[in-house]
Amino acid sequence: MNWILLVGRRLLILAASLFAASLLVFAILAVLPGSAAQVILGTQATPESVAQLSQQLGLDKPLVTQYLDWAGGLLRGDLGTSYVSSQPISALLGPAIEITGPLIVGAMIIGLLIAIPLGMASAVRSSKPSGTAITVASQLGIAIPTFVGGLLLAKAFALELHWLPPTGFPGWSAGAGPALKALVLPAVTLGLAEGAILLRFVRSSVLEVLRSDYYRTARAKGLRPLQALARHGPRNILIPLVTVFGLEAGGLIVGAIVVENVFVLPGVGSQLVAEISNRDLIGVQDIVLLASAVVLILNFLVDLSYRVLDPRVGGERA
Amino acid sequence: MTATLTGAPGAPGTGDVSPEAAGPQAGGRWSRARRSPSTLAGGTLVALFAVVALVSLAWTPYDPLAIDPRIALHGSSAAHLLGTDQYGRDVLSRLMAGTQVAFYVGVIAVAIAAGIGVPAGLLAAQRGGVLGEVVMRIGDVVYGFPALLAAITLTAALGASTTVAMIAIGVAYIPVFARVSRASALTVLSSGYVLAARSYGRRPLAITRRHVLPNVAPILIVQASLLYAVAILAEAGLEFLGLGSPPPAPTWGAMIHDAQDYLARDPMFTVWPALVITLAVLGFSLLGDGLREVLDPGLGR
Amino acid sequence: MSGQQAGPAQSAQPASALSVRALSISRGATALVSDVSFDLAAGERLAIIGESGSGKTLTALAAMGLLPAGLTASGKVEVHGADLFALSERARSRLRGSALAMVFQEPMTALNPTMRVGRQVAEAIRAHRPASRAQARAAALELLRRVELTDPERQARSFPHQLSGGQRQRVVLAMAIACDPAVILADEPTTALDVTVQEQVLGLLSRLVDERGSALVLISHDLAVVSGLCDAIMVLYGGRVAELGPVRDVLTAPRHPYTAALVATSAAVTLASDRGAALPVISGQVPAAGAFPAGCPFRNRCDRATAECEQVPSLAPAPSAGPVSPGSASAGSPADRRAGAHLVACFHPVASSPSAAATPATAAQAPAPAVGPGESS
Repeated sequence: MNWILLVGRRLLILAASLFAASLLVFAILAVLPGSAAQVILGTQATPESVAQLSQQLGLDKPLVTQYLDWAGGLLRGDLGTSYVSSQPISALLGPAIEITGPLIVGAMIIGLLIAIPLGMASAVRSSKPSGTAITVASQLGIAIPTFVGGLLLAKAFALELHWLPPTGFPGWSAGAGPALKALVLPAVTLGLAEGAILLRFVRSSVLEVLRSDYYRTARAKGLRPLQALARHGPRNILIPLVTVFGLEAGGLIVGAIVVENVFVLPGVGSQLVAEISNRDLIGVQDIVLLASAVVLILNFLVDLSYRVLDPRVGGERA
Repeated sequence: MTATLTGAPGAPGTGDVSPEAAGPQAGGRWSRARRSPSTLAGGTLVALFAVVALVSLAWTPYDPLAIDPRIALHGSSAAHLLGTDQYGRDVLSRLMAGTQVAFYVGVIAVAIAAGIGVPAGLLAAQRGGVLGEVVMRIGDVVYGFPALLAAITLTAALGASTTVAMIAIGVAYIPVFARVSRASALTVLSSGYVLAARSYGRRPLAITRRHVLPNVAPILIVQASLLYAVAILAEAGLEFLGLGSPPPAPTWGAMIHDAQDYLARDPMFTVWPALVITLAVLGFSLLGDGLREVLDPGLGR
Repeated sequence: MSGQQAGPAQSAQPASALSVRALSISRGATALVSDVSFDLAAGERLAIIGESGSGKTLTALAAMGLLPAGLTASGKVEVHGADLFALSERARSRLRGSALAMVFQEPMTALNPTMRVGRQVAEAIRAHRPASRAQARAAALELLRRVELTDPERQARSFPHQLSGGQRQRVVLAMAIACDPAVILADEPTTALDVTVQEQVLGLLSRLVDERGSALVLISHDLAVVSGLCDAIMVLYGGRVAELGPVRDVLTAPRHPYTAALVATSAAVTLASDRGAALPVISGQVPAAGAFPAGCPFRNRCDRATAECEQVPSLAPAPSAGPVSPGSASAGSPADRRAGAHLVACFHPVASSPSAAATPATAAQAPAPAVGPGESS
């Protein structure tokens, strides 16, 4: 019973946050000085044509009506029509998500594959040179900007070694092989950056376990170091790791934008940048809200996972 | 002859012997700071960049904006130590000018984040109650929103401009500063000497000034340094995407953006600004991490 | 190795459960514990008394082979005839929990907060005995019953934060006795508990140790706790042994000025009804580890100190304190102590009784009746 109430409450908060986010996004863009119609038609346009286009696009309606139109459309699954191309946005976003989605998921997996073993190693060997080397490498990984990493990888593996394509995406219709090949370098770039960040968190949580009294108790019972870590570590490491995940969701989305630019992938990020340049506000609103929704939902899941992972949580509420 | 036993890394310390009691961890915060490799390395890098920034205000080898198509895309030479870009502009001069942007960027972000966040956090700590909770909740929501995304959105609304982007990043970090100041202030406010001060009638403002601020300040410096690193990275990213200051502004990110086209021909045009960005970010990160360690040793070293 | 005794009843020396010889622990160049030696017979109970910084916890940790990073220990620690320091880490792990077990001070943090308590006890069993999950669970329940938990089934399924401090410490005790260790090291096991619970847990500990015939090393700073529970007592100060002997002798007739002061201050608290008397204190403060004076570590707080005390006093039988075992200058073996020997490391030990004539060795100081250093200096 308590469970359902708990989840229900969280869902309500999620819905409220989504609503607040949509308001915020709309409000920020509505503050735009100069109208979209003006930008589309250019500086030479006559005031009459600007006014006409504005009316066509619905830009002259009161703000509240504009918001309700947009939000209402979202709830129905209608993302609106692009100002610039007059195409439904959903048609544009669909294929873009097919690129960005796998990209982000791939990056997350690569990031975890790097962070967990290396983070553990650097904690267990914290006083030895190998441990320090890993820590230094992770500092570098964080300091090197994502786009730099992407460019370097592209130079090495695509331009020099010709193993992978440097730019572009052939589309899933061209077959899984070529499509995946085009995603490897971008995903690795993003994954390395994420991995460096996550590594530091894994390391500090493992160190905390190693320094804890319960680890000492386990050793006192006769467990060897790795045994003790394997039995008592996972849950205590997972909890902070999951937290960071939620926080890093936003970072991954932003990283995707940059990576898509470097490797010329027509994903959601590139779409966003193009729409900003074209002042295609509806599109920008949709994408930004989508990104916020992803972040909010992820954090919602993270919050729920605490109830499962940490027995101390929730007991207080009950 | 007699065997010896060496303590294993990772085994926890005991209450009996405090780690600070003797040996290399002894001494006050300043001496520890001087001995921490992160702080030293980071501090040196930051100082170096600061010097370059100051110098570049008065002098650079060439005018960073001066175009000379005749010598476009030359490699390193005696006249141009790091070569010239596609418009014949001296790379070294542009890099130096770029340090000004880097510091400017950090200043705005930190000024906003700290300027609003710290008073908010201190207020929440001192008044507590519902107000404090509400402030923190709002902060959580803001923090959840990716900072760079907000920056990008704002540039869409207000046009490409570094200042706008940095305001966005600063705003996104207000919750961090608020949270950190509040936590630190709460600890100080419940400590013995503050209770004593209040019992003999010290006014809250005086208590804040004399007791809370000196304790909060070091932690704020740590956060400021880390935020600087974030701001420089974010700004470089925005420049790279073409959403930052319009050309021909000599910023590191824009330089990499320009260098992309020549990646196949000569990667060095990408490498120099990339190296500089990395070192700058590294410097602030190491400094922040090192100082954090000095203030609270044992925290995930 | 040591103990060239030439007295009667010392030829058949019973094997010690735990034998520590010249244990020294240092961090780099700083000595934290110096030259600690003692023997523990099977079933014997030794108390280690000292303040924070005296090295008592470190001594126990060294015996377990669980020193924190950065510390090095030298000397000999023998358990079951094996020199612990000379073993491989793997072999040491096999001894931990099965031959030697340790109970730590803070029951809340000693247990993994995300793991059910029963499972943690079962883990102690399965570390050394092949047992299926079900067998281990059953054995764990039995252990929880042994430590007098009221509702073992439910409590085994609980998480540590759902139990009280006393219950948690009982769980920790259950883990310690799980494999019937020959020696149990208890580091201030009740200090973190409420006073009423302290008595219960100590009583439990006493019974458990009796039932299994284990030897006990009880580390404490509380003389009252120790006097009722232990056979022998070792007083540590500044990482060195100050005094070692049967508990009754040491507490009623302490020979080392530090011990005497401890006894006086502890007695004074119980007799606090005498309003007029000033509370005796030991002057000065305990220096931080590594900052003790060279030679006798107590000399900068002792009003009996002379230039001689700049040397390190060796642990020797106290003059006129029962039959002396000649030549048994090193560690207090059980045989020594059973013969009533009472060892002290001091150049100017306190005389055994107020009216005892001063022997030449202690002629320098006039014997003080109730030793209460501290009002002076």
